[in-house]
Amino acid sequence: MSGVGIYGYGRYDASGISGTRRTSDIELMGIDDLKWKHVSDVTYKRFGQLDALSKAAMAATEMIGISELMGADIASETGITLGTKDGCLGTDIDFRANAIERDVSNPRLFAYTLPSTVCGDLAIRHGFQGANACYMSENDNGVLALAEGFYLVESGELQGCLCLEVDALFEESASAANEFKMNLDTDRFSAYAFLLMNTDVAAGSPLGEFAFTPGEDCKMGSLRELCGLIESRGKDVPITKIGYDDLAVSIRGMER
Amino acid sequence: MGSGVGIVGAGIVTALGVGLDQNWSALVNAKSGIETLTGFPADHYITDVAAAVSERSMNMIYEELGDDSLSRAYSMAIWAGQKALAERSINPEKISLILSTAKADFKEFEDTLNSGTQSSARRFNPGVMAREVADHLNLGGRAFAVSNACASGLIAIIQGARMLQRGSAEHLLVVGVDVLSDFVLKGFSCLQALSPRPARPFDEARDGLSLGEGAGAVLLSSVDAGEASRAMLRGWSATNDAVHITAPSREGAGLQSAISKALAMAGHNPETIGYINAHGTGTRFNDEMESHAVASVFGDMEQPFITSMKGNIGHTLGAAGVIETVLSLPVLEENIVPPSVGFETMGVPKELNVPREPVPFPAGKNILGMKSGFGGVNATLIFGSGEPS
Repeated sequence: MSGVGIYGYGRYDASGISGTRRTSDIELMGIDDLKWKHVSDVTYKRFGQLDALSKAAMAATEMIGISELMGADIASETGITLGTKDGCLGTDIDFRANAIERDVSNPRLFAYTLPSTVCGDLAIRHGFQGANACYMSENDNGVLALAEGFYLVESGELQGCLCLEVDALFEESASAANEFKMNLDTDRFSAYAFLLMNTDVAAGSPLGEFAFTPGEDCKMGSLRELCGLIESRGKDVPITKIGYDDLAVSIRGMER
Repeated sequence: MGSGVGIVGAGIVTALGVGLDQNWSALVNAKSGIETLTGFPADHYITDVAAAVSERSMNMIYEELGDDSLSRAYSMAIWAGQKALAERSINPEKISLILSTAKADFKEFEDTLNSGTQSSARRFNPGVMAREVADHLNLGGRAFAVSNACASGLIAIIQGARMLQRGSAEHLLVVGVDVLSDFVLKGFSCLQALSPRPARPFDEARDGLSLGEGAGAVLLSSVDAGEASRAMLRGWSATNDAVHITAPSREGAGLQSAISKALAMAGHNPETIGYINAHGTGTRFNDEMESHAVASVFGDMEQPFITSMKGNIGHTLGAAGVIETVLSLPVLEENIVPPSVGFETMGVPKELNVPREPVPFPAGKNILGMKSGFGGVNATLIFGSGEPS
């Protein structure tokens, strides 16, 4: 069994874009306006071809600074766990509106009618060749993704795992939904990403540590809450436990 | 002898029929459920064939469920789940559910749209459908969906096995379901991935896949030495090609890695595999990729039999991994490998041992299931009869 720590995080939500690598100084923007240059200095032409879900996931992940935390050897043993409530609903609606109602076929759009395509985009971008899993439930998606990521690294199946909770809808998806008499929240997006690594192979100290705490009530709300705790580090935040079953994450009030 | 994760119940409905007996008989007799598509505007697609569950089968399901108002996907999922649960007397409060699917009940959503009414359908969301299936079956454990394209089924079974191993669940019902819809028929048409004829996996003349529909369910439990099970799960793995969103890696490196890791986990060498239940979609790239991966692992030995069931039941998308695992269980019980329907002439770069007739399954050996999907994902599962190792 390996020790597992959180070595990086990133967020893209209504409160802004931030993460281990840096806090973006750009003004908050909706997903329709998000450009790759807002989150990275590296050229990545595929970004414009991604759907809303992948864009949100990619933006949050980019804020981790993965290339500074692991080399290609660890990346090839790194997997991805994704939790999402609505998945690719927006793209589903776009595809149906275009391909079926308007008879405009778009193979690229169809590929994004699977939520796990997000994992494919992230795997290509970062060279992650380990296990993938995309979880969908009404609650606890992100917590499930984080816990499963922990177990995959702890068991030695992976050396690292990118764990995400992502939901995103384009404005145009909501418009298309109205055509179908569906009510969707407009321009809704949130993405939280955490990089878990085996403490034996990772350089530096983790931001957070995992531990089993049988008998303690460690119910965790969401990965958003975990982001908030990490961002409060250095402000005398006491050890905070946030968990799933008996598994808890401790975020310590200390500078890295 | 310790304990292990076993399949202790199974249920299935496909274009070949309802229940494992009907399906197995059809497989061994090389029947195909791929027929002329009805109930859809076939001129909208690049094919007019698919493997649909027959109205006779649906009527039987509705009759057994006592409710013909349920949607196609929902009723199939519940029925298959009930059949798997019926094989063991387990307190449903202790059972968690994982739903394996690509598009869940999108057909219900489409039907609502076509009726021109306000859409109240919610089961197009896999997470919602998972919860509702669990509630319908009175299961008290967790309920969530795994949606990893065409590898969803094996990844859901792997997920269940992991949860049992570490004690996160006492029993796991894994239900895989996907149904034909205008959405998927149009989508695969625009990808130019559909064959105008029934799919012919691994054949020289193969030119695409045939879509199918159905549901499969496996009940997973920890099995102690001396306890009976339909099959024991020996090893598994999942990988990502990290190369392309819709196309597999040409040389099958990701799948090869997933096979090797599953063998290593099982503590087996390649000689212990007697049958490979391939993904075998019938597309040029997928079948070529699988031949490279299999040859790289099994190339220096007498190769195990390998078949695809897509020529029988079509490609059931997110349900395929569960459905084809269920359909492989009788291989262990009857010691027969059914033929690979649609295969005549070897059409992949690396020679494979694809049977055209039923052949004996070597007793004591194991089955390797493998599935790959959009997003570059690969999943493998090794299972066999016998006791926990």
